[in-house]
Amino acid sequence: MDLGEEGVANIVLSRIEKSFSEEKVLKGIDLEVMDGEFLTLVGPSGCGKSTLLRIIAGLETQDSGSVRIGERLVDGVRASDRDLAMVFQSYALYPHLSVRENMMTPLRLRDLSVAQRLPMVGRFMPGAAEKLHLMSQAVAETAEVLKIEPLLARKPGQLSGGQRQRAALGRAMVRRPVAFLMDEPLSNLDAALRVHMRTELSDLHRRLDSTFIYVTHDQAEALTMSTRMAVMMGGEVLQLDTPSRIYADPANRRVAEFVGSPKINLLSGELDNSGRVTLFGKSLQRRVLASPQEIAVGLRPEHLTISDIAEGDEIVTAQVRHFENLGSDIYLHLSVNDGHETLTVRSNPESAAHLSFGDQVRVAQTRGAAMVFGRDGARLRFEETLDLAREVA
Amino acid sequence: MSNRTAPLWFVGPAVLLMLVILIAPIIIAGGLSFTDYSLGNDGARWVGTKNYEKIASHSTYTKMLRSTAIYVLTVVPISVALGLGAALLINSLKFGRDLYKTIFFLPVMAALLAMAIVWEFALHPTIGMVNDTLAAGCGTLIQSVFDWGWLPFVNGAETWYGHACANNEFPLWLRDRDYAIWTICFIGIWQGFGFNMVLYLAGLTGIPRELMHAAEMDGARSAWERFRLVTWPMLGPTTVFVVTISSIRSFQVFDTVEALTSGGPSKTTYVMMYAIYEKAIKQNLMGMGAAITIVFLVFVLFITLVQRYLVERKVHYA
Repeated sequence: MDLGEEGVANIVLSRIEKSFSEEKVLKGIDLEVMDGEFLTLVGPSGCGKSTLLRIIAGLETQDSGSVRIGERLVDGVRASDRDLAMVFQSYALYPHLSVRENMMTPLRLRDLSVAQRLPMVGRFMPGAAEKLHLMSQAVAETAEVLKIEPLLARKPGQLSGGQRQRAALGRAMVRRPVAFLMDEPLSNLDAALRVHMRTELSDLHRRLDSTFIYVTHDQAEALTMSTRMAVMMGGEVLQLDTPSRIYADPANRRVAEFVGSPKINLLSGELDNSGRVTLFGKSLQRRVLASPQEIAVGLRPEHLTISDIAEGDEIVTAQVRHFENLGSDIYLHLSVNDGHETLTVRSNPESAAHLSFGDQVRVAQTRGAAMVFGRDGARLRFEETLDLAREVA
Repeated sequence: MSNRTAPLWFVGPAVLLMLVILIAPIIIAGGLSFTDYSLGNDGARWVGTKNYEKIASHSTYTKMLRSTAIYVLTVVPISVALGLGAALLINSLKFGRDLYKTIFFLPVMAALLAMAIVWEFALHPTIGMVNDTLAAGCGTLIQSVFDWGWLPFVNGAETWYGHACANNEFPLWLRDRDYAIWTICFIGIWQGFGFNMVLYLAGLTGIPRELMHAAEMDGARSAWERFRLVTWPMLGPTTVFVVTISSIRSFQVFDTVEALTSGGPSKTTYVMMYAIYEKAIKQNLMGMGAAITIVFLVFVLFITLVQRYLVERKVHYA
């Protein structure tokens, strides 16, 4: 129970499998969550991320595999004995209790004996007064951290979404668990508040110095908050790494497509015997070590530029189809090959100002930014990067 | 039609109907309760509050209030508790939910009058299966279990069952003044708790699963703790509704009394609805019947007001 203080509360999942009726939702997940890190499980809905979180929590039992919290194997240990706290998407506050009583509940259930918990007479049991004093002190401290002191007397029904969110966080924080599990806690908030809460959660994580396991379908949340993120799809972890590495160096096509908004451009190309990549009839300088096949070349919108003058790096001529103005940036949606393929290009408002719908533009790519994915979706490395990797290793 | 009169035309029909079929009869009943009117008489004598004084003082009406109170105070808590218990048990099942729901709901669907006749046979003192079964149990393991002789400080021969076996004397369930009202209560519970169970089952489906999980994460280890922390508070609105409906239905008990005991023996099962029927219809004492009806109305109104208060103040959290 006091693993938190020892500071070795790594959460280790090995070979977790789970099926619902015939459908396999988790296919042998191996994952190690380091003590104190903010790990995000991110993926499209139905990828098994929530199930995985609930298995860690103990609310669901895995079919096979094991969960270890610190030194302790917790398979068969029930949720209430795992010393984890969870924040739910719906907040799951007890509607008949005030915020203070909501935050008291985990303390009451854990720290008070059955006799001390009796209604009316419980508080007069030996030792109860002292414990109750400590408990309300803990609640007051937590409320101060979350700035919800004025709300303590209110019922959840009288709170706004953001305030409920804080109250739910407070209930989780108040007993200082080994780790916090969060199941899409920001999904029910409006867009502005969601962005604001991202900062607050990161801040809170830094201050509490505790392990957060965070489930979301929103790649932006994962990128902004995590220490590391695990991209899950179809019951598997496709890639586990820091947000910047996942973004810059996705392990396969599905990860590349999922992470980043707007989506990465995937353009069909050819790979020949000599490892030369051909895209729109032009070849890239770097070579790929793989058998000849049809490939997809990934280029993020910020790695493409539009240019009026013919320069060496231009790859294709395209037609402007749509402007997506975000104020600071403009995303140009272009069509290539008579609309068979589309491209999204990030541009600054100044250079896009003179463009209008239907204009022809030349698109150039930033050197060294292209990623190549094979027919099966696996990332095909360029020769130089392979060398680089070796040097680093 | 001006804008000002339009609303009157819209609400007019509803108000008129309500006046004619609800309000007016109540006012007329209220008026009649101060007279000695009988159906067929040309006029009636104004008797003031004499009818009400009778209800307060006359032993027949004291017995009426007593038996109604016994019935309501027995049937409501037990049928609500059984309904909740059955709903919780059924809700925890993985298989066979529908089967149990059907079984417990059958008495609600069956015509009570027909069922009363079945009970009359089952409870018949000599040929009824209830007493037959009890008699057959005498001298066997059944007796040694149910005369409670195995409990410390209990003498099996002196308990109810031990005594009945020793004298081979089983109760006249519907003819004995010590048993009749309780037998009627039993049938009322048997008939009514399935309805409460269905209401509670509906209430249980409205409890968010995440709330249960939150309770589990917060350390509510036992089913009882989760029940106290989540289930019971969340069922608050359902409970208020169930208690109100059960109370009103219990005040209205009539079929079983009419079919099985006709208010007897010694007016121990003389419940209000039966009294209204007997006074107003059978004996054609409309004034008296109207007075009992008004008392009845006051009780039901009181329950309804309590329900409104509870629903608005205590059990809706949003």
